[in-house]
This record gives sequence, C-alpha cells and structure tokens, in this order.
Amino acid sequence: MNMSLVDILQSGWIGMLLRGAGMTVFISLCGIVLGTAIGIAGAAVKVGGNRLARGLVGLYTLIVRSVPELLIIYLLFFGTVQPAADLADYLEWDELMSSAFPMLIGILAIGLISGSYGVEVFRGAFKAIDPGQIEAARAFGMSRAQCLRRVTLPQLLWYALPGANNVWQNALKDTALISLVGLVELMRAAVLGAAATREPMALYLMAGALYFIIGLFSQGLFVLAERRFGHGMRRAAA
Amino acid sequence: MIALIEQAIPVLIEGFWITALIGLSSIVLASVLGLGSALMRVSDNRLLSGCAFAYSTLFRGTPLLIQLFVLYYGVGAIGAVREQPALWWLFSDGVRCAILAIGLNSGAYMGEAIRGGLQSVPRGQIDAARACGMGRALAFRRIIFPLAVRQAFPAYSNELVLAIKGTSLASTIAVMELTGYARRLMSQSFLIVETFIIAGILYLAINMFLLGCAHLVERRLRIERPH
Repeated sequence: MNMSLVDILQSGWIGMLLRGAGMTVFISLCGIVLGTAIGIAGAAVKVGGNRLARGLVGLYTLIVRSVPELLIIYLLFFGTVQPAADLADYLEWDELMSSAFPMLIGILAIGLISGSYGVEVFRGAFKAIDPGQIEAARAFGMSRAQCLRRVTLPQLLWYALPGANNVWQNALKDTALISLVGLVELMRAAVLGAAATREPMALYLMAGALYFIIGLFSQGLFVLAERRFGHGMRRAAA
Repeated sequence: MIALIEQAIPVLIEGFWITALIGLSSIVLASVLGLGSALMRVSDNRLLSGCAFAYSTLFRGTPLLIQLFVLYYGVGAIGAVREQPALWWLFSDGVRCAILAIGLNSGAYMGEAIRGGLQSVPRGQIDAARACGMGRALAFRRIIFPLAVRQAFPAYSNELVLAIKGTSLASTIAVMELTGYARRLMSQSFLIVETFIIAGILYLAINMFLLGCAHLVERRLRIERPH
C-alpha cells in the first residue's frame, strides 16, 4: 500500500511531527539551560577551584565525553525508572509520572551532556577576560557578586557565544536519542508515523528536514546575538 | 552479585568486538569520504564544491539517528533496492547499514576538518611549487597535502572519538553491539551502574587506543625545526 505525499499530508502526521518538533525544542532549551549552569559552574571550578574539585570536574567531562550519549541516557533511565515508579505509586501520581518522567530524563541527559562540553567553552571564556578589569571593579568597591554580575558574566556570555552555538546544535541533535526511552518528540513522532503510514522514507525525511530547519533558524539567532551584543568587544582568541 | 558481574563481562566484551568492527570500518569509510569531499569543496568547479557543501551541511545538520533510519528503514523499503542484489546486500544488514550511516555522518565532519587544513596552506607555498615546475598533482602530493594533514590532524582525531560514540546507535537497528548488550543487561538485571561502568571502560579503552594512535601519528608528522 503506497501512499502519495498528499495522503501523508492529509493523514495528520504533519501536525504530529510539528508537535514533536515543539517538544524537541522545549527539551533542548531546558537541557541547554541546565547545561549552561553546569558549564559555568564547572569552568569556575576548573579556573579557581582546589585540586580535588578540579579532578572531579575533569573526571565528569572525561566520562561524559568519551562514553556514548545513548549509554548515558540508558543509565539515567534504567537507574531511576524503578524508584520513580515507586514514588509515583506512593503519591498516586501515575499519570503525571508516565508523561513527565521521560521529559525529566531528557532534560537531565541533555543538561549533563551539553554541560560537559560547556565546561571547556566557558573555561576558555573565563580566560579571555582581562583580570585587570576584575581588579579594577574590586578597586571601585564592587562586591564579588556585583563584579560577577556587572563585569564577568556579560563578557563571559559574549566570549562563549561561538562555542555555545556548537554545543547547542549538538544538544538539539542529541534530543533525538531521548525518543529511545519513550519521549514523544520529533524523532519518536516520525517513528510512530512511519509505522502507521508504512512510509518510513517520507516521514524520516520530513523529520530530518524539521531538525535541519530548527538548526538553521537557531544558527541565525546566534549570528544576530553576536552582532547585537558584540559592540565594543573583541573576539576571544580561539 | 559478583557472579552476575562475571556473567555480564563476557557478554559486554562480545559486544565490544562488534562496536570495534563497526567503528573502525566506518572510520576508514569516513576518512575516504572526508578527504574526497574536502577536495571537492576547495575545487574551482562550482558543481563539485556545491555537491560537497550540500553533503556536509545536510549530514551535519540532522541527527545521526535520522540518517540511520532513513538508510535502514527508508532505503531498505524501496522496491528497486530490494530487487538489486548488490544494494539489498548492503541495506538488508544492520551492521553494513550502520557502517554506511556512521561513515557518511562522520565523513561530513572529517571533511570540514580536512578542508580547514587544505585552506590553511599558504598561497605562496603553492605558487612557489608551481614556479619550480611542479604539476598540479605533484604539487598537491609533495606540498599541499603534507602541510594540510598536519594542520587538520587534531580536528580529525576528535572526530575519531565521535565516530566511536556514534556506533552506539547501531543498537537501534537491532545490531547487538556494546550499547545494545548494555541496554539488555540494564533492563533485565539490577546491575545498572555496574553495567554502565564496564561498558564505559570498554568505550574509554577504544577511544584511548585511537587517541594514542593519533598522538603517535601526530608526533611522526611533526616537522623538526632547526633552532
């Protein structure tokens, strides 16, 4: 049974794919926020922490970066699925559990993975900030928190933008792996659609096109951000 | 507990060899594709460079999982492919399909690395080689390629690790490799963290081995400069 493209368009799977794409973007965004926090914290430790803390951050980045993303997702999923089910049972939140659990796993996984790459990005950005500026801010009488908010963070984010773009693009593509533990995002919607319409080629190509468009669009946003926030700044040396 | 771990280790090692097979084969394929597409990218022929650009952009802009599913479930469902024995041989088997998908994906990234190397060769070096009477091919072999390889090598060796990590997706098309066995052990036993640690060490071992080889090659490639 061969369906024409028109049949597929009318069968409602396009809407399903678009809803999936929405979930993909949502998970990527939440994951990248967590990853950015992990990245900045990890970079701060690597720049100014003691030996033990530096070693722990180094171990985290080594493990997460050399082990496949899928294996990390399986660890998070199988490691928490039983306790989470027990907890949901106890609290009688079974319905919430079945929909929210894969999402939480997805956000956590994307956060941990993008965070491990973020550490290096933000470490480079920390090093690009002239220490004289921080000394000057402190000499003006700014507290550490004020100095962080007014001097360090704005420049840190600017210097990290090009690297963060890479991390974001990878995070976006890594969300496809969350489909394997049951989250209905773009990839999972395509798999379900392929099974229902028996047109795997069309569904997977459309899903691929959607990933590509999301990536292209966010790439444009990064370019805009670099232009918008780039006034009076120089580029970080590699 | 210890007995269970003792049972798990040989299973994971069996998967390890499949992972190594898929990983190394796809790295060879990706290196060829990467070099080819990088040469096309820097060529003066608009059509060639356009094709290479499209290849690189599409394969880097979509998830590997989609590419794998398009090749395995999509191409494998086309009637014409099923009737062609050579094509069917390629697309009916999970391992061969995984090698093709990971090779194509990783080749796009390696192509970018190699292109960077080719473009970093100073124009003057090429002009000088041509002025000495070298033909295009000879100048490429003796001057451009050796310089480009040194420049591209660090980025290229990063891609080796990513290709090995990519092999884990073969488990999604029913190829039992390291991650496939690890998933089975995690879902059937309580040895979740233990399985992760053993599988993780095995992945770390392949990656360290490849990075070690890359380091040796990089040392051999280094130019000794007189002080």
